[in-house]
Amino acid sequence: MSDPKAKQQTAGQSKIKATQAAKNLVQKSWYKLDKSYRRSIIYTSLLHGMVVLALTVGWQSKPEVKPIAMPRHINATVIDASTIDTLNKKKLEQEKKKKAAVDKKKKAAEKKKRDAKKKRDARKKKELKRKQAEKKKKAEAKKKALAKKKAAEKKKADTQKKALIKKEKEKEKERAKKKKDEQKKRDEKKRLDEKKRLDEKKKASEKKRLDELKRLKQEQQLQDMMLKAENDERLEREAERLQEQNRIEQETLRQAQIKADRVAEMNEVDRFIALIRSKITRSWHKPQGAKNGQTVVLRLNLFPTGELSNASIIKGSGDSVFDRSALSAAKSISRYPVPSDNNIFEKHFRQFSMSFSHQED
Amino acid sequence: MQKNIVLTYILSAVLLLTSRVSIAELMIEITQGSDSAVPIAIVPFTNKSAGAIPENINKIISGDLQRSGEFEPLPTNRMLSLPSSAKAVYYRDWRLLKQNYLLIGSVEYSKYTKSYKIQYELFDVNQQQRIIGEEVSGGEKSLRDLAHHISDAVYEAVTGVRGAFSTKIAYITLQGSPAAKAKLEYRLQVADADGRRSFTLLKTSEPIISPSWSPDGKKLAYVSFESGRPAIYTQVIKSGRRTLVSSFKGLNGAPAWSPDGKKLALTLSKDGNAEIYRLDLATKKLERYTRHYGIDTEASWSPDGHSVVFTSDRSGSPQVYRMNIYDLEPERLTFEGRYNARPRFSEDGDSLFFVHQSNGSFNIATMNLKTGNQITLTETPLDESPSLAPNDRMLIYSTQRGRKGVLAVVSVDGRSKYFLPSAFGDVREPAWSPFLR
Repeated sequence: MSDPKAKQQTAGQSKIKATQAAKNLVQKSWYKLDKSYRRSIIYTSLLHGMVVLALTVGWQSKPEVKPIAMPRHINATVIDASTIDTLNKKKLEQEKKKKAAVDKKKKAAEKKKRDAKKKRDARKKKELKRKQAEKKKKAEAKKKALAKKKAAEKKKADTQKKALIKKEKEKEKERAKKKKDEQKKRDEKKRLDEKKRLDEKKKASEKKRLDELKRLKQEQQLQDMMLKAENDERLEREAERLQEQNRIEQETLRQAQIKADRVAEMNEVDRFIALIRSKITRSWHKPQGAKNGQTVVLRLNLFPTGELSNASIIKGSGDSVFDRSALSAAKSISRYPVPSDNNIFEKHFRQFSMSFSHQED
Repeated sequence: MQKNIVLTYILSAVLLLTSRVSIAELMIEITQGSDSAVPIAIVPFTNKSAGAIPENINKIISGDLQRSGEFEPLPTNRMLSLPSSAKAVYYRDWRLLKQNYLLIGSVEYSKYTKSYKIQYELFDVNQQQRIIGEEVSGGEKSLRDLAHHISDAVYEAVTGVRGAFSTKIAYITLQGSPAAKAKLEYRLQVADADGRRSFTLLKTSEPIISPSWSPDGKKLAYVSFESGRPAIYTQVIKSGRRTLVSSFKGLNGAPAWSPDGKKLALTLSKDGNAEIYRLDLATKKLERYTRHYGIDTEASWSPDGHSVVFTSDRSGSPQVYRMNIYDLEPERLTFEGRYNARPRFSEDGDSLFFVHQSNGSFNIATMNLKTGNQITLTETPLDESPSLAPNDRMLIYSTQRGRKGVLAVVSVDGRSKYFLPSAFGDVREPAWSPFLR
């Protein structure tokens, strides 16, 4: 009985020792690290921790899991293996880097140490040989004790091993199940994601189609508007052209009418000029003393009745007798022949000029 | 400032418009006048004296103006009123009678001065304005002169040409007939232009021909045969004093006074053939103008005295020639007909009057020297001796009426023609005096 106990104790001690040694090694390594490395490692660890936490919380979902027969409540934390792998890999890489750095330093120190150690080793070798001889003796003694202890422990360990194997099997089984569930969950999630992606894709394509439709519709509307505007413009131009053509025709007609009116007017004017000239010629007693080329110009103002309103000389001949004869002739006519058309009268006969000249044959 | 610019633009536009209007104004051109005489109302002059007036003034004036052919006096009996002052003139009345002019006046005799005072006014009826007015006076013998003076004034006011009613005419009369074996009596007479108040300057039994007035109207030159052969005399009209200026051997004829009155153009045959000479009256010096075997005679001076026109038969028949007195190169002017003679210049020098034979009759014709146009003015068969009034408006000539020679007057435009009364038998060779005042 004492052997297993001692064995247990020895194992506990060695375990504590190993733990302590690891702890020391970590501490030693930690403190050997540069301060900035230490900080970086802390931050990295924190960041990884937060990422792990976030992933753990974020990926919590409540998929509709149909109860499987014989459910077993297992307190497990779902961890994405790939994430862990990644993290571990990173950690390993970092550690490797750290280790490489440490190794480098270590190597340098070790080299020194080796030299010293060689000397020490030489000394220790002797010591060790002596101690080993001592130890061999102790060890042989212990070996025997240990062989017994080991046999007991082997037995116990076999038992434990069997229990452990069994437990391990169960665990393995559970893990497989868990893995299966996880796989299932992942598949489901994947399916859902795919579905969601497809939905989204579908939605997006629908949206795209709708947008396209809308765009096409807008384009169609724009085109329609443009066509309408073009058509309107064309119609407007056509209307304007027709209007212009109409205007030109009207203008041509108007001009023709004006021309005709003017011709008629001029005929009428000429007729009355002839009548007036005839009357004046009968009334004008050209002075015998008139000289060739002598000319006097009078301005006459008539009333619409043809009566003389006023007659005056606007350009004298330089001969008062000649001028007077003309003025007298103009004033001798009590009523001038004038057109009944008031427009023609106003335009031509309300006020007009009359030149009296002497031209020798 | 901007306001001013705007106003300037507006004003410019208005001016532009006004100028356009004035350019566009209708213009009627009159070049022909009436062929009819000017209607004139000569109202009987009011007698403001107690006694009768020896002469009918308005009648003399009416006669003068009517004979000119340029006036048509309104008969007194057609007048609606007989105003003697401007206040009493109602233009409407005279317009109704279609009169262009109105002459009113009055005569007043003053016992103290033994003269007559004539006041007259001429109105333009159409323009309703007074044109001229005057007060003239003279003795009883001057009453006709005063009347002619008024005629001249009216004529000039209306026609622009100086009246020739106060001028005189000289002419030759013949009494008796060689066939009747009665004693022949030739008289050189002077009378008013209307043929009135004639008096005898020379009386002889031998022919008198070719009377010619001196430019101042105070003398006459003529050819008298009283000595048995032709001789040229000058005679002062007022005193009757005579001067023999040319009595060369042969022909002495056709005297014509130069415009300055100092020389006479004559026809002399002293060198064998009838030629034109110039006689200086002061020095008696002769200068020969023509040298041709043909007959050259009847010279007449141009008004400027630089040339003479004359009759020559050097071409075979009597034709009119003109000659510059400096180079004495004759230039033939008449080509129509076989007889063109006795040329006389108009007072303005633009026309020539002469006797022209066509179709067997002798008539008075006129030629425009600038254009060469020739017009026959008379139509009686034996017209001769044309003489132009100093205003170029009337022409006196002699013609035959029955078997008697008479004097006739024709207006140069041919519109008027009348015969002058004569107290004696045959009348011939008239000569119209120049302006006497």
